[in-house]
Amino acid sequence: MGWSALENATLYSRTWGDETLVYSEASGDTHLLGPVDATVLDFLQKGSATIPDLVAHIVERLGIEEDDELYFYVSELLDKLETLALAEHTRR
Amino acid sequence: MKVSSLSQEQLRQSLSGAGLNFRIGGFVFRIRSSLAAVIDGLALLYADYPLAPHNEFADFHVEVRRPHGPRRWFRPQVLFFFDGRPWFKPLPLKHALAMLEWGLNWCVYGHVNQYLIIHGAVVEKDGYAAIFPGGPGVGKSTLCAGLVARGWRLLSDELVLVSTADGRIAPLPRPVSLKNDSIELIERFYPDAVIGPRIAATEKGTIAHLRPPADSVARAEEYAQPGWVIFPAYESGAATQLTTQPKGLGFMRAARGTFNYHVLGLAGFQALANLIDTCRCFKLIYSDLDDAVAHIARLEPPSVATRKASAP
Repeated sequence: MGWSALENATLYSRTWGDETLVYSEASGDTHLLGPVDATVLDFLQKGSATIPDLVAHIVERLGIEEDDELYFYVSELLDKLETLALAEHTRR
Repeated sequence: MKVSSLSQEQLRQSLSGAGLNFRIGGFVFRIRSSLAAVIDGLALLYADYPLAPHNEFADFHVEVRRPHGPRRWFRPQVLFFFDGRPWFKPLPLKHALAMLEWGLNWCVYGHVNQYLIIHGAVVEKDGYAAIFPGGPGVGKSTLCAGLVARGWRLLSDELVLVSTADGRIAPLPRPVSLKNDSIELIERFYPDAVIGPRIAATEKGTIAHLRPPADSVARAEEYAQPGWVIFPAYESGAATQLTTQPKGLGFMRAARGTFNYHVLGLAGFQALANLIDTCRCFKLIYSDLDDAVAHIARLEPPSVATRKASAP
């Protein structure tokens, strides 16, 4: 099972250093994301991805060490993004 | 023609008759009242404001008057009318001037959506606006009055109007609402200040209004470029600390203090993001007004700071 950004959810973002603001036109909500969260959401906007895909992308992009904690963090983050109507499960 | 060009009797007759059209920034308010506290307050605090012709379109029609009924005779009260209807619960009659001021604020933040409206004070110097977002009690009005005393132009004490069209700050110079200890503080700090009557026992304590400088009123249609967003926090006895605030966090703090961010949707996000992008963001902790004003006066405009940061 994979994840992607919520279909038809138009997102607008603004980045200052490590901070990324995301505005969802669908919900009208604004979210302040850290670098890992923003990297995940950006990747999901490009297509469907599994948790290992996302972890690999974070490691490559941000130079973070791959470990169990990172897998756990990404898993929890995806649940949060789903709650915020920013991401959803896909069949992949 | 200014308010001060009317005699007290002419002012009374106009206000208690069909009303008087005041031009305040980009708006025209038609104000009616036969209450002495309101008439005297307007004569003092709005002396420099231009009057608009009576046949000119007025954006807001307001009236402050006593309710009918037996309340006229015991514990007299006052009501705020907007478009002929009473709004808000009545207040004691002695709070009539304060009620008018609060009501005029509400007219703007409750109905105007061509601007993103941030709850805060804003002053200008050399074309750049210093914006102080914050709710009651953070010390923004005291800071605002202190900066005005040192030559900054008053744009607004309560409502920061950010144009959604071009991001500039529209002035809405109105009397600065001083509360409790800050009244005496400003009287000492700003000996030339014209301050209205003390209004005791309001829900915010004792308040008094500082008359805007005539220059700020005369330049009420002159917009300013956003320069700095400064989150003030008055802390008794604290040394002045002016520290950089991360922009993302600054955005979220400012957004929480807006009146119409959610109403404006994407336009609100873009207006605030552009504002934060353009401005330098700070957090200010202070207890000494003189020192806080001096710290703010030393801030460089964003363009200068950016040039220095990118210099080899």
